[in-house]
Amino acid sequence: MPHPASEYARLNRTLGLRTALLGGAFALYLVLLAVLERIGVPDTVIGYLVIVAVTAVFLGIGIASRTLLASEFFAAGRSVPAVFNGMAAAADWISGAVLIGLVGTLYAAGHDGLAYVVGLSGGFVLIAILIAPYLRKHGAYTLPDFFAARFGGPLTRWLGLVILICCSLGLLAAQIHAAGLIGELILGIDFEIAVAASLVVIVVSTLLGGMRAVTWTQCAQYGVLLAAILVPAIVLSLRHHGIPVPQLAYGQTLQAIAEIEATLPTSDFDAPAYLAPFSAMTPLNVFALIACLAAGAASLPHILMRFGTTPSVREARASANWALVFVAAVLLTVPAYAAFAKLEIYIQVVGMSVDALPDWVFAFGDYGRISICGAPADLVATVKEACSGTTASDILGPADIDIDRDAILFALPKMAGLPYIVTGLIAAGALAAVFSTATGLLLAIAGSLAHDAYYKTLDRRASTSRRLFVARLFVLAVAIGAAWLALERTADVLKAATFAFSLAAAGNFPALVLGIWWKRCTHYGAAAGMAAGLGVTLYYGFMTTWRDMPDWFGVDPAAAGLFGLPVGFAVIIVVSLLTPAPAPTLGTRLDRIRTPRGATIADTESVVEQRSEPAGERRSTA
Amino acid sequence: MTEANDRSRWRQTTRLMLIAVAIWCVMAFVLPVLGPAALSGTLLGFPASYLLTAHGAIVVFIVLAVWFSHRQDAIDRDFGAAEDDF
Repeated sequence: MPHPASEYARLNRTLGLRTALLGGAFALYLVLLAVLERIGVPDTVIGYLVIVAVTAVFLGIGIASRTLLASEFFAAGRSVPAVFNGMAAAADWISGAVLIGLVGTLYAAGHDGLAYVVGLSGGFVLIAILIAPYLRKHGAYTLPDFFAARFGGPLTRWLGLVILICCSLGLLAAQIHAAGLIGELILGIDFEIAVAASLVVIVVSTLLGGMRAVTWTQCAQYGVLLAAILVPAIVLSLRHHGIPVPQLAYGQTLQAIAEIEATLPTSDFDAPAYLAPFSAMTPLNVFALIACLAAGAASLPHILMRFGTTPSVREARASANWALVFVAAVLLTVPAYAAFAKLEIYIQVVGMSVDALPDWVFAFGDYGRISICGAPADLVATVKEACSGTTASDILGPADIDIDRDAILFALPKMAGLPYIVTGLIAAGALAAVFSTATGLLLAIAGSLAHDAYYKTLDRRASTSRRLFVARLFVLAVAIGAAWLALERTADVLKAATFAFSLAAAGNFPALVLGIWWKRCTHYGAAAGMAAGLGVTLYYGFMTTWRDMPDWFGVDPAAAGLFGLPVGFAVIIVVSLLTPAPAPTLGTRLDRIRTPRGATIADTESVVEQRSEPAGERRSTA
Repeated sequence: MTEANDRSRWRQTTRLMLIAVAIWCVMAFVLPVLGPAALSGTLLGFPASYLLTAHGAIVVFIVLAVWFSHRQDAIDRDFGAAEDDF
């Protein structure tokens, strides 16, 4: 039943108005806090005021969106307009680990870090072209459910569930770990307490409202995270270049960096030059990273499930485009942010004597985030002692300074002497990025366990209230499991996230693409390809990281999907051609998946299966 | 909707998909891997290959996605496979 045009336009207007009001209130609140800071309220209080207020709004939206309907819990009633669905998808994709890690990687690798920018944005084009419209037409609540329906067997459902858990659980743990990092760095609370507090927020925003609650909180979270990266970048662009468009102005910052690098003695200079291509990564690794990130975006279950919440197939395609625009706004700004940080380090630290180092160096050294001459820079005396007897005793070179790249995002406002409220805003933005992705992931894992493992396998007659109860139990169980994993501190959060994208890409991408675009693709072909792609990627990642296996062609273990992807495609094609062609009913279903017109397939099929569901369940399927 | 109509629509959809993916591959793979060697000089104050990778790829992605959606909508409409407007 299509939405009447007037009702849909009204929904868009209402949502637009609410967004504007919420954004305005947030801006006013920040101004108020800036005034409070001026009149002498301590930094820690300001930090708490920003983070607590923002978190309270997220929780409020989550609680206000509670629901008792399965279609609302799993697919937000299929009523989310394209713009807002795109915003939520962007928040799903720009996770806390990605935001923190991307700034750090661009700071450290310069030109080569752009591979992340291209890969992270490119995926949404593939989603719009290859996958989203067809997933929406089928309307499965979970990705394994789509595989089972398309290929007609339980094997692909189970493999899909295994891939989903492999890629999502690690990513979820990385997010919760990032939340612990933020609590430790900004609020000065214990890592474990920060992990527990963020766990409560994530669970509460998911438990009551499912996809419906997650969607609307993600829209608010996107706003906070965009503001967090834009505000400091605009302020610094105005200060350095006089125009408030950091995305275009930072070319001059790059030139200044290159000029300083040219004056440094070459012996000092084992850090890669900021603008030299392929100094931090080989061309093959650039290719591998882009492939894994883009195919990963188009294969991650929590991202793809977003496209089941739009009212129509055309809106699903449009919302992938909106997601690209919203992701692009962040990805165009992050390289500028990283370049500003690089320049501050070159001006304030490199070429200085130890006595002339600014205070913030020791503040971050105290947290173990900056080492100079190999010693943690907590006191001037320690640094002096460590540097004595080396060339660094008078003048520090870039090689003498070791900054934890995951701290750069939070360090820039202090380096540039911006008011503390900016640091608070960045912490709130990073937390928003953590929460948005963590809730999406938690819902994808718990929803799939409840739908695929419980409802479709164990108890096909379960009532809606029972299914939702089971889903909520899984939300709790998965969240606690992920927090336990997060307490094992990982080294490089972006590397960990990239490996999860590799797993998703190698496991799901070939089966999704061939399943939609190649009718001859069979159940056994898809299952074999999914297992092979996942297996090769896991094998390469595991053996190179923990078993000292020499790498293949120098490919980074995080980009192991480079091997998994072609293996997955090849195995699906070969096994499909060796096994009997799929049954004609599956072909007919694929034809319906490929045709925008007509009812959402999963909804009409569940009507046949589930006569006992309340009538309200099946409304609003365009 | 006849079967021939459906087949012809899917042929056009597939062709559009292949063209769009080919353009995507140029911006996503060829430019970042081969661009730095082929491009020199500065553009808008940036090194040319840096600007084209950091900004150019994203801008082309957005234009490509919008163009693709328009073309796909037109195909669906022409063959009577589009959803009713709402």
